[in-house]
Amino acid sequence: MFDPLIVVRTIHFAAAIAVAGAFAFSLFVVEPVWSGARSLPPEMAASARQHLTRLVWLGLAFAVPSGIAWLLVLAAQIGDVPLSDALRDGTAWAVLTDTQFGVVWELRAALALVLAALLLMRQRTTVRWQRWLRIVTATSAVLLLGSLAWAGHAAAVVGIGGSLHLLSDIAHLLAAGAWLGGLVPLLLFMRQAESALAQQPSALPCLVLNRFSALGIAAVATVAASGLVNAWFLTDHMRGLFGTDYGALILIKSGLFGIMFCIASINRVRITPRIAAAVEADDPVLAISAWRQLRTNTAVEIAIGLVIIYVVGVLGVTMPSGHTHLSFL
Amino acid sequence: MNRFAYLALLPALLFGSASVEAHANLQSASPAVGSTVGSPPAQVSLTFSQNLERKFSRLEVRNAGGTRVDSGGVSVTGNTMRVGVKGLSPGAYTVHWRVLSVDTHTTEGSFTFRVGR
Repeated sequence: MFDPLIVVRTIHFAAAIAVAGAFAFSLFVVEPVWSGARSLPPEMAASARQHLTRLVWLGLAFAVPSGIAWLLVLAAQIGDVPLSDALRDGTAWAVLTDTQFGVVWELRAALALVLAALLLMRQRTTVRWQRWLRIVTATSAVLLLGSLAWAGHAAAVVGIGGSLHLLSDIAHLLAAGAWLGGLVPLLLFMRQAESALAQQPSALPCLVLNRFSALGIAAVATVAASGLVNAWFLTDHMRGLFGTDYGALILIKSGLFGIMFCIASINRVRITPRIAAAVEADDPVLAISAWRQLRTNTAVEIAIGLVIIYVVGVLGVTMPSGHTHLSFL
Repeated sequence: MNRFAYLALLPALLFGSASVEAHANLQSASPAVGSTVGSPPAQVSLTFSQNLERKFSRLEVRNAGGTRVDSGGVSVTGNTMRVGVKGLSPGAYTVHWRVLSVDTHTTEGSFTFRVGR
């Protein structure tokens, strides 16, 4: 049976991750490099900023409709009525105003509005306010992604374990946003920097790679640690990891994460040093060939990341093995 | 389970065949599931594994003839829901519940208890 909730969840998660990732990439990767660079071509920074802003708008353009669709599909399922009826008979309104999910959705809609307004303001403010606006917009993006934890299984667990699970879920979402979400602007940056690198090998792109790598290591460690905590709660202390649908999906997700981790490690340990060495030796041919390899790997990582988000979409509508004591072993 | 059996889940991944399933499971009830109580209870109380949404959670108690015997005023606090019942005569009663957990999953079920010696 096809479940539309999986599709809207997948699109919404991907969009929220892309929005948060664009800000993480801007705040922690490119802006510190730009501000520390002495010989930065001004058009490079301007064009990178423009790319990031477009990415955030694109993310919002998917996040808002998919968020509305999520509410409607959910209301139809809760009321056990067709989609059009859920809107007409007030079920969707009741879900929005009378459930924890609905309240979280109202807050998230407000966050999306604030984010859009701040983005528009940013284009018209003086440099003095730019920095503050960037921090406030980034915080809105972080909240937009982190608040998804209240729409998932972690939100319903009773007691202190529930709070720990919720915190872990928030950390998991934000770290995924920084890493997976950051890969998209990284790929855009790599495409943009490739022509500059071909003309004049420069250390600047390597600085961006190194900073993303540092962010990536912190994010991957957080993803792994919080993923273990989440799995502990959702698979009945790992007992439901084998022999249940939910456990199998967690294993598939972990396997895909493992492949992404291997590609990221190859990028970090082998390809990035090769680019740095080629730049140092002033060898544009070698630098470009390694750079292209890195671009391909990043694109593959993004593709695997999208599959992981789809698995997350399925996990949300699958009964966690920790919530039942049945097993078909 | 054979490790390759997980491959069988691939269609579920591709086509999203996983269905929405229950998440809030009944943990305990008063009167207990299938029990016989000596004196008629004043209320029926159900405790679930997860917190519940008041708006979309229902609880009914019916006698052997199918007539509702609860007061209709269901109260929900966290993961517990209660409904008052009055003057239950000896006999079998069926409790039917349909609840929405705060992680937005619906679950339902029923059980019986008896009043009498």
